[in-house]
Amino acid sequence: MKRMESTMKEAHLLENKAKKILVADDQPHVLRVLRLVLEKAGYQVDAAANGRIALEWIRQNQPDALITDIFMPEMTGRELCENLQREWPERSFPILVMTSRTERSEKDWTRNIANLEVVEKPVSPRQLVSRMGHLLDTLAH
Amino acid sequence: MQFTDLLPTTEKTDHLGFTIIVASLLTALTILFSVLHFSRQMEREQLGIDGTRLIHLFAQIAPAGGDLTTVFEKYQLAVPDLAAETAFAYLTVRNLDGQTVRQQVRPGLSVPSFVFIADPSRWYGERVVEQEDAGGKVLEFYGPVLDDGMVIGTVSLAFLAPGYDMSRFGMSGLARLALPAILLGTLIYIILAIELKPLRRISMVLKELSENESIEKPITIQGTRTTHELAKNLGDFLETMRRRIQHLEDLAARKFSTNKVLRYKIARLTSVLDAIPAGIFVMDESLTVIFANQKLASFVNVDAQSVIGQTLTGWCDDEELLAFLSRYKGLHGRLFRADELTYQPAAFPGRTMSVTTAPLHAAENAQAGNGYGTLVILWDVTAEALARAARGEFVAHVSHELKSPLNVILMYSDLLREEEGKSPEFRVEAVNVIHDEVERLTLLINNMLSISKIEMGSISLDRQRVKTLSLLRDIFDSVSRSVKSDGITFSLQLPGELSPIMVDKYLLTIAVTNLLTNAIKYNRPGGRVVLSAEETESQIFVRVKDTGIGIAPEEQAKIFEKFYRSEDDEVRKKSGHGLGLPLAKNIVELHGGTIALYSEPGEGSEFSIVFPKNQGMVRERI
Repeated sequence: MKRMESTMKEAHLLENKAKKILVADDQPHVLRVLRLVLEKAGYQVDAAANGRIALEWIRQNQPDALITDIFMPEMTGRELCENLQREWPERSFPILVMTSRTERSEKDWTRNIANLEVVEKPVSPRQLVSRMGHLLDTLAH
Repeated sequence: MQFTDLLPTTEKTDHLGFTIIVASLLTALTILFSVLHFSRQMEREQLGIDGTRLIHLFAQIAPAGGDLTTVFEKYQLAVPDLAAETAFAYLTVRNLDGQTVRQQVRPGLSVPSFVFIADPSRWYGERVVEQEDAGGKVLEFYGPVLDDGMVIGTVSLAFLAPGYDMSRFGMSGLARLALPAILLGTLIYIILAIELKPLRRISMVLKELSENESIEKPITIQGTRTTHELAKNLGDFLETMRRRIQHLEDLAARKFSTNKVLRYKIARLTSVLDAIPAGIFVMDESLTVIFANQKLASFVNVDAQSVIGQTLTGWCDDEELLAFLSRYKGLHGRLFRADELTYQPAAFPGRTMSVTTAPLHAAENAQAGNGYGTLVILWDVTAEALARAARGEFVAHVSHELKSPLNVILMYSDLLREEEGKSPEFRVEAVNVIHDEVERLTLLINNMLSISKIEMGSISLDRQRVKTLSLLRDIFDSVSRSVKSDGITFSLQLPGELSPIMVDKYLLTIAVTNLLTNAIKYNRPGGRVVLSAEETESQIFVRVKDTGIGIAPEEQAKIFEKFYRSEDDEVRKKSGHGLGLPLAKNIVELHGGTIALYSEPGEGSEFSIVFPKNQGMVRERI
């Protein structure tokens, strides 16, 4: 069994071909957990503590996907997405937004951003990973 | 009724009496005159008859031998009593030349001359002769003296013309005539006086009525036979009028006092409407303002007086309000529910107004068509709107703050169940993180509850006499035990003695603990935190000093706001809710104290709690 697992892991790794995921959240614990889970799933994870850092990173490195919180200092997740949309209208990578607010006004802006999905906190890491997989699969096709 | 009542007492009645007396006298006189005149006429006629008859008789007496003197004697013999007649004037026989032959004349009278006229148709006749000396008239009858058909002379027989000789009647006769007339006059006067007395009374009453404003006594007028009907009806009429007038006067008086009461009530109601802190006006179907209270000016920027009588479009310059109210045009009293609108008036930026409309019904029946119009009330709900917004923000903040630790707990516990959970290192990490997050969550919830309670006013201080020194030492110990110091020096500086204070021990512990945890959290590695206390004449100080990041001057006020966290990266790096300071401030202020802040960015901060030593805070030792 163990051999199977490691084989599966390798297969997984090969499949995911080290897809780069950028995670942006102001809470270190969240970054820690997400990194743990995503790396486990075979992704390459980079972390940003706020929107500004994330935007700069994206300018320099193209991620394959972005997971971002909304409420962060210096630049919020919303501002980050809107900036990305403005700077790269033809952006191809998907964005997953973690939100703790369920008000309609919070979701309205998300409709204006292409290739964006919303997930509500608290979110199970497993779910996050599967959502991520979906997003990247859809993109692949 | 006394006789004296009948006597004239007023001028008018005097005139009446005088008139009646004069009239009756005149009547008597007239009667007398008529009687006399009549009798004179009668006498004259009789004389005429007698005279003519006598002359014809004399004409038949033949004179003997044509002797005129003897014929005279024959005449006298024929009518012996002639001379004795009272009316006898003279008897004269003349010859044809006109000379008197024989005559008999009443003394005092003179006989006029006579001329014989040969014409036989003129032989007989009569004439009236004036008496120059004696006065009066004489009625003379003349005829011929015939001797065998031949005229030999003339004969004249004259009587006194009857005059107004009252002596004939005598005084008793006069009295017999005059007295009845006078008596009749007096009787008439008496009767009239009796009959007219009611009229006098009527005139008196009418005069009184026209002079006085009112008559209290009832009006009665007694009548007599003839005036009975008139007196009774007039008396009844006047009495009715009097009662009616009194009734009307009563009504007027009552109406006057009712009016005063009404006016007072209206004035009072108007002052109530003017005092209500809302803009109130009433409009009718055509949107014309029919009432406006004074306060309306503060809500729609118009003067209350100038607005009355104008339609909405004339003065309402706020479009939203105008559109809302215009819906009520022409509803013609049809029932409609109350309605409400919240809007931002253009005239008062930054404020939020609420307008409520309601139909005004007549109290008696609420059927359609009996309304007074539409009532419009304008409220300033800026405070409520702000509070609602703040509440919304608070709830949003709270849910966010709660969800973040829960998120972390979920993630770690999820992983614990999975493969990662098998790793002991991971387990340790997970347990620690979960524990920390739970603690953080608990602290957050407690802080929020406390702040909420304080702000709602539902917290009551449980003031106890607390030994200040012991309290501060306890807090210090518990904080230094539980908080990770990260190389920070933690010291306590307390005076030897400190007055005990009346405080809620639990709440004050929270406040001081919050200050301390902040001081430790926002410190630099190797920094210092000092908890100190001081007492002066009038105040007690509790100070928390740190050598931490410090707070920029522009943020020093804001940090006491709920959920406020500094933009500074150093601050943001640390986890925190932004509730610790607001809560500490609330608690201190609830105790009647204040929190002061002195801070230098990069150097450190010092928070000072100041309690005044008044009755509420410090009780002297017994």
